[in-house]
Amino acid sequence: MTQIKFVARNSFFVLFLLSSAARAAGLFAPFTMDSTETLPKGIRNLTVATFTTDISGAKNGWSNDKPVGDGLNETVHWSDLVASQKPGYQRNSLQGYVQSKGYNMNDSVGNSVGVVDIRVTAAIPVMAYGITDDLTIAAIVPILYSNLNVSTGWNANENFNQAIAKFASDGKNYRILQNKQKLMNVIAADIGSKGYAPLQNGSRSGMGDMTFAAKYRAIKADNYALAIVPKVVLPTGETADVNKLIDVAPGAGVWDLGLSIVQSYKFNGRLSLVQSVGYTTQLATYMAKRIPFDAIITTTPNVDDSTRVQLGDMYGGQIGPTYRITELFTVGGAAALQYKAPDIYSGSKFDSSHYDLMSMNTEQVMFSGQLGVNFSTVPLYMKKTFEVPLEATLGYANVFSGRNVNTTELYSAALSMFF
Amino acid sequence: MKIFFLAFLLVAGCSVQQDRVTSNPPNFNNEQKLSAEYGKITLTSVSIFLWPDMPTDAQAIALYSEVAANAAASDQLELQHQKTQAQLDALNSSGFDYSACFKSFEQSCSATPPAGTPSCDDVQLNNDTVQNWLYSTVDQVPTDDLRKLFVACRDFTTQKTNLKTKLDKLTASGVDLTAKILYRIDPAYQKTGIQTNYKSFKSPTTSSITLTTGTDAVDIRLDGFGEDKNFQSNIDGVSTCDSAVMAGAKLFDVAYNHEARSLNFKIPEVVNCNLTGGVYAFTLERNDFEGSPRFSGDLIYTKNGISQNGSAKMDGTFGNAASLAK
Repeated sequence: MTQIKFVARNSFFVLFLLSSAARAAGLFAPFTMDSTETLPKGIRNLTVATFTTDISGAKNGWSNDKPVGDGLNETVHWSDLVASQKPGYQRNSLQGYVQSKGYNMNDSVGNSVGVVDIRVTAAIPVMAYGITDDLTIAAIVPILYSNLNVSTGWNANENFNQAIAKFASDGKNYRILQNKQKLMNVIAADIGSKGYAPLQNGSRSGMGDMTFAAKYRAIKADNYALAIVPKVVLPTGETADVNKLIDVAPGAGVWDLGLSIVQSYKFNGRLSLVQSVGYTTQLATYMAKRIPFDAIITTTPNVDDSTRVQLGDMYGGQIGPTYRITELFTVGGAAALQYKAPDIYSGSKFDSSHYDLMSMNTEQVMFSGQLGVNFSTVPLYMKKTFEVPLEATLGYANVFSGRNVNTTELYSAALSMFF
Repeated sequence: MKIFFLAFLLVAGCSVQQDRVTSNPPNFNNEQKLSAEYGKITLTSVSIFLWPDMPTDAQAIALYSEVAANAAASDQLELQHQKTQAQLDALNSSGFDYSACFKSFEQSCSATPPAGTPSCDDVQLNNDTVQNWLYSTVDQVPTDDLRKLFVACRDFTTQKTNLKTKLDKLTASGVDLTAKILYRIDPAYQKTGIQTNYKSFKSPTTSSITLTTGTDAVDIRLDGFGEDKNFQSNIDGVSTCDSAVMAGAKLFDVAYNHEARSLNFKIPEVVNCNLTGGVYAFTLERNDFEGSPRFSGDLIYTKNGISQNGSAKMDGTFGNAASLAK
């Protein structure tokens, strides 16, 4: 089954202010261009950015997209049906009875099917202030809205239908009818038996994890600039509900400390090249987690309320040109490569090998790209031909390849004002 | 600007489309037809027992599987026994075309044949030898009819003997299988040979379950459950112990669901005409076993807050409720 851990936290960086390629509990495609620019001393900036994206699947390699609901598409075995029964006599007697009829617990009874659609939309206000001409500080408060659509079903095979008929003639029809609802939807029965909330369509919104960042422009030459961007991320967002199999949580629940270095080269008055590298460490914390008991079956009834969670550190780099078409319009593009180390989980409630299973498939690699166009009235404002200094940006980002990362095609927009 | 973002959120949020998946859950249209729905079922065979405690799930599963397999095998034996008995009954009452010869020829066949003559069991027996044997044994001139009669008579005798032998074997196998089941479900029996968790009735044939036409009403009368002197029913004033009315022994929470064919009832445990506080709660399913009514399912015995699971099977025969004295 699929546990979505999508946290678009800290995902927006003010244009001209913040830059980092590594920017979430898990990797997320950058959708703003990095910059070495800072705000002039005493100038304030309010930006409200927004993006929307479908989380359609997970990418492993260039073309191997795995749908988000892929974990729901599984072969159903007798053992799964037995496991949906109440532990103890109910479960054991059913297994004993099924086995007495010559069926093996590993025999297939059909296959479950599921489709999951997730759309995430964010509104991200950013407040920035120029302390000096070379030092700007900012606070970022993402507000996330997510919409989840789930459809599940299953196809019982002929063998199972024959078995049902056999059991009914054996005087087990009442038992079958008692379990009819479970047999009508094995996915619901399976996750229900493990203490998960029912899978259902829904939406949620909430504040994500706040980020406080600063940008210090250490070098400013005619054609070259270098800025250092430290940041701290606070776990202010609500974390994933341990009782939900699929949850789009606004928060990761951990503190992050990050540092990026951004360089820009100006080739002429129109063309520049911006390059950045960044590192983010995610501090360990304790939270409730589902602890699997099997490498293949990811759904589990085991919950450890004090699981030690050490999310993997993230490294990344981005490079791309910007080109000023006219005084007011600038276009740009960038390619980003990011890496996140495996997460590490530990605890004392269950065997350590079970915690180790959680680290599987948490190492991430992402290769992504973005395009953007920026419209600015600042030059007109400076000439006093326009009264309000504003900027508007439209962007597009896509994940080209990667490992254990969400397949995202992301559209963004941002509106900034200076005062 | 605020409005712009709200609108953006709403549009984005509503743009998600619900995907559909194909789903073909199992067919449930396989309800077995019953030979009869209502009437008085006089019990003929009852098997009620509590499962022993099993230290591990694996041991419990193995036990349930073994007992279920043996119970199914026992049913098959019972089925074969019934069919064999029916064949024998049919043979014994099959018009008796051989009556004229049966006695003399069967006796003759049973007798030691004269020296040098073929025996009745000789598979090589042909018309000539039959003729010779008939002539020498019964001192009759064998006619064609007489010869045919002899062969039929011999076949009849052989068939009857075979069926009797088969019945005896089936009976023995059934006894063995029952003992095997009892041995597995009762640890005390393994040590002492005495059953401690197997419950039956003093007399199944004086026990009955009556289903009333067109309603979910049910009338249960159980003679000797647990102890010979108990008679327990869900009818007021009928429950007795040692022939004295014992109101507390009355069955309770009795319900028959015609649609689900489920029968639930609880028996208060009575030992030495005293209520022990123990309760047997039955959840049975009405079914047919080869045309005869059967109730089978689970029970839970609870006493002093401790529960123990069990299984139950009650076979019976249908009679006319109105014509049978309660």
